[in-house]
Amino acid sequence: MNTYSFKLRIKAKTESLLTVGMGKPIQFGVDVPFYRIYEVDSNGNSFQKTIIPGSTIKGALRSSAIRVAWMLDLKAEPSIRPEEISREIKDAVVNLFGGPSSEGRDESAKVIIHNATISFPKLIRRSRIRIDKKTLRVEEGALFTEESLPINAIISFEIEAINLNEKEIDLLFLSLLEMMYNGIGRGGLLKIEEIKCLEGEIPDTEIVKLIKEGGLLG
Amino acid sequence: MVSSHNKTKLYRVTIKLLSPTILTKKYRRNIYEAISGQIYLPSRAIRGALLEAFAREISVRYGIIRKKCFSPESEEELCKKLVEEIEDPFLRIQPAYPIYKNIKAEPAGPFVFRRKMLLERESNVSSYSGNSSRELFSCIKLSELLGAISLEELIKKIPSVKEGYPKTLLGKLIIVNNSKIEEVDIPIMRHESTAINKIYYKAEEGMLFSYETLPAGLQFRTTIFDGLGFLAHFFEKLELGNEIEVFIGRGRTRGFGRAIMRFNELHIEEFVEKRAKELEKIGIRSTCALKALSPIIRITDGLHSRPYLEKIEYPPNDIKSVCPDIPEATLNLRKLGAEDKELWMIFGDLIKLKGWSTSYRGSGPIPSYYAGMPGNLYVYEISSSDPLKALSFMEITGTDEFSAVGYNWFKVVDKEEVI
Repeated sequence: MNTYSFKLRIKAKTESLLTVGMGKPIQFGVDVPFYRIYEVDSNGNSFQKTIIPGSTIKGALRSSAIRVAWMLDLKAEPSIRPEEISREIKDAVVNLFGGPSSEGRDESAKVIIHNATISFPKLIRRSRIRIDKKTLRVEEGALFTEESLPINAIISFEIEAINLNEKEIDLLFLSLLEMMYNGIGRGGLLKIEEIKCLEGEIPDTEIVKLIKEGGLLG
Repeated sequence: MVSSHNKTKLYRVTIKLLSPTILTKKYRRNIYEAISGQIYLPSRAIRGALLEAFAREISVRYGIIRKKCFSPESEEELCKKLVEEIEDPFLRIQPAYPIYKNIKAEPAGPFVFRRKMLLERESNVSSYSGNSSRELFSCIKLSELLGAISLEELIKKIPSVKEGYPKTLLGKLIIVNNSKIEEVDIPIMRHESTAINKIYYKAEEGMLFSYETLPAGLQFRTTIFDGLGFLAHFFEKLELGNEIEVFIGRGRTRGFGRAIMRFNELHIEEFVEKRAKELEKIGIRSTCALKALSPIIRITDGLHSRPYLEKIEYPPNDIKSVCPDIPEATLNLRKLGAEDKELWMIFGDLIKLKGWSTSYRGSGPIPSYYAGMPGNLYVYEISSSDPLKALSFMEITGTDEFSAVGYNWFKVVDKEEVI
């Protein structure tokens, strides 16, 4: 069976306020701070950078893949618990996104998802409140602050795919499309604007043809 | 000419982290603790990352499934070379230490101290303008260490608790900046992440993970001695230029551990001559102090280990076969008089080696042994026709066969103050 390796760059735009949270509310003075990493330079100075972690995107893609696997006649266990992922069925999502390793089976992921960079990350800080489900009043002590990325913020990330067969390529692209409806982070919606192949070759499978016709894949 | 084997190459390698990197010391339940204090990339990690990167490139370029790149049955010439290097390691990769304030850090020796409290004369003066006693200091000079004949003599050099409760910084990373010893401060960040239930889209119970990471942008520097032209061959065949993207540590498929390795070829003869001159300046003759840059270990009978090498016959056979002109040297660990007995001249502490190997033949735990800690000091007597050149070579090739897998790497102490 032919396998293909390629590298994609995906450019997307936020369609709603998007929050990818992290811990440390005290350090950043907000209850749900947006995800940041430290970067250092060679002089030992450190500064913060706002990003969307690859693990968030990978998780969102995996969820999407589970939802769409049936369209490609593929089987996928709707679970992420190692003990629940069935070893009996040939799980397409585990093959693509990796799973708990077991004897004789190479379960490492065939896709590497890098952290997403955000162009001009200007975060919005907003206060939110939880509503009591019984009385429909604001719940006492449930006021919280959250940092979000505004609508129309541009994000881009890279996906490296190694030795994917045609079915897996279809599953990956279909998951990318599904992710636009599934959302990412805390209820954020993304619109993929462009998928660019940076390296390697993508075969013209059914899904790839559809995406090309739609003008997404350049 | 030393590099009589024309394939022999020496590279200065810079590794720059492009994303947060999880280098775990240990993990308890779901918390992955980063290595702290002793932040360096062990040779084994660099080796693994490099071989894996080559396999990835072969896989992409020739359409070979990644797993088959490590298979002994593979017919591709590059895959065969990869397997050869895995089964019989030859690349000598020095442990990579971080660059801080544009200076390569190194582990502090046991004689580097910091006082916990200000000295009395300082605490009484409100605006003390001189050097603070909280600054790091070394309590011994190289000549005093090399010339010591009894333990008592050295004990007197250790500052007493009255001197502001000094504490040794053994193993912590330091640099010498403008003649001052400074501790390296690398910010470690903690990331919390949770698994999301794929049906209800809520956080999955019991699946909250914490990772401590090294920051992106951090640079490490090391050297790679390649006696068989292994790297040059791969770079040429895979048309890689002088850099390659690698992944280090955990979580590489979800944005962690992305790094770029840049190779800069050095002229071996010039490099060694320059280093030998530096050692000559400091006055090294027949005795030298070596600082451990990696765990130091000699396995005695398969089950037990010693945290020191009492005798080093340099160069090891594999290096000798490709570079027969490297001057031979014998290093004997010195002994020190202590009351009615003699002790090895080793200063430092022990660490326990353990870990997990993800070998292509199947993963499994690495046997655990006690070893000498990076930062430990060892005093040797050296006999050689050209001791300085032999020591300079030893710094770039390691001391023995164990150096190919990341152990027994030394740096000659080359400053008057022993740090």
